[in-house]
Amino acid sequence: MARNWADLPEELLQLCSQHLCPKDLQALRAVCRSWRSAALEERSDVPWLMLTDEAEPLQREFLCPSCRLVHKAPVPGAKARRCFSSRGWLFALGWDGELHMLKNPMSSHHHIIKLPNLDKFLDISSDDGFYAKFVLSASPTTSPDYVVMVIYWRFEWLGPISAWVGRLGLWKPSNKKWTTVNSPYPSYDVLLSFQFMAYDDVIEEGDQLMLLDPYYRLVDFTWSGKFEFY
Amino acid sequence: MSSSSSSSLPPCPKKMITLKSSDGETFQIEETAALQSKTLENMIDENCASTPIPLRSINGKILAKVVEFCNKHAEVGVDAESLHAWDAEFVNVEYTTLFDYILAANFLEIPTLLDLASGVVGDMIKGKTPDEIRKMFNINDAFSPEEEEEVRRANQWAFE
Repeated sequence: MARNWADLPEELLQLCSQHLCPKDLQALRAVCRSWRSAALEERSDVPWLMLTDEAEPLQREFLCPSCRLVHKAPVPGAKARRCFSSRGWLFALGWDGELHMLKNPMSSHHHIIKLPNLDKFLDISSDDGFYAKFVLSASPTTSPDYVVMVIYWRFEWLGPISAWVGRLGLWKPSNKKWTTVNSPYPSYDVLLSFQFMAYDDVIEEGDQLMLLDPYYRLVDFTWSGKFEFY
Repeated sequence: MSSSSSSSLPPCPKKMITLKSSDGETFQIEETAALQSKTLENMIDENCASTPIPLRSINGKILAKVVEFCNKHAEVGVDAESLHAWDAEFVNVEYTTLFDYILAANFLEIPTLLDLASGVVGDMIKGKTPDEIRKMFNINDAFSPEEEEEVRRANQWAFE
C-alpha cells in the first residue's frame, strides 16, 4: 500500500499528469527515481504554439495556452524561418535554406532527417522565391521509400512577361539533390507554356495527388514524378 | 406522498449498505449512492452485501469523506454550479488527504472522485520546478549526485 507520493502507482501518476504541458511533464520526471522510471506519456495533450524565431537561438519559444506563458525548450533541428507539416512530420526550413524533417521533436524518441539544402539547389533567396507547401508520400518511420514534394514559387521571366510561378521539386532518400519536375505539356508558345507548367497547390487524396494549376484545373500526378493526363 | 424529493421516484424503501473501514468504523450508505463505486456495485451484485462490506485499505476518516462525496453526488436537483463549488471545497485539503482520496477512489472505482482529486494534483504541479514539487509532496527519494547531474542535464529546461 502506497504511503508516499513517490510510491503513487504508475497509472495514478499518469492520471494526475494527463493535462500537464510538456514542460511540467519534464519537471515531473526530474522529481524522484520512481517518477523518473514511470512510463509517463511523453506526449502531452496540451498543444504548444511554436513562435517564429528571428535570430535562430538555441532554444525555441513556445506559447503554452494552459500556463499562459512562453516556455523555452531546445528543439534540435527546428531552427527555422518557416515551418510546414505533412503526415505528422514537421518541416523546419532554416534562414540558410537548411531543411530538417522532425518527428516528435519534444520527445526523447525524436527523429531528425536532414534534407539537402533547398535554397542552394533552387537558387532561391527570400527576395525572389518562397516555399508554399511540403508533402510527404508516407511517413519515413514506416516507409523507407518515401518521397518529399515541395511547391515553391519563383519570380521568373517568361519571354516578355515576368510573374510568380509555382514549381515542383521532388526528393527521395537515395538522392543527393532535389529534382525539379517539369510538366511535359507541349509548349505552344512562351505564354502558354507558363500556364501549363505552373502549379499553385497540390491536393492529396489517399495515395493520389492532384496538382492545381493557376486556371484551377486539376492534373493527376504520381509520386514517381509522372503526370497523368486523360 | 411523503417523499421529500420533487422527482417522481417510486416510493420504495431505501436500501442501505454498510461499509466497514480498516480501523473498524462502520458507515451506512444508500445503495443508490454506493452504486457510483464500481467496486461496491460488483459486491452488491454478488449479493454479499447483507453483511458489512470490509474495506481494509481505507481508514474511517477517509471512508467518511468518500461516503459524504457519494451522498452529495447522488443528491437529486443539485445544479452543476453549486456542485462544482462543493467539489472544490471537498478537495481543498492537505496533500496527504488528497493522496488518500486518490487511492480510495481508485480502489473503489469512483471515476468522478478520481478525476476530481487527480485533476487537483495536476493543477498543483503546474508551473513548478522539480524542487518545488518535491517540497510540496514531501518526497525524499532523492537521486544520487551522479543521477542528479544526469537528470539536470536531460531536463535542463525544466529547472528554469
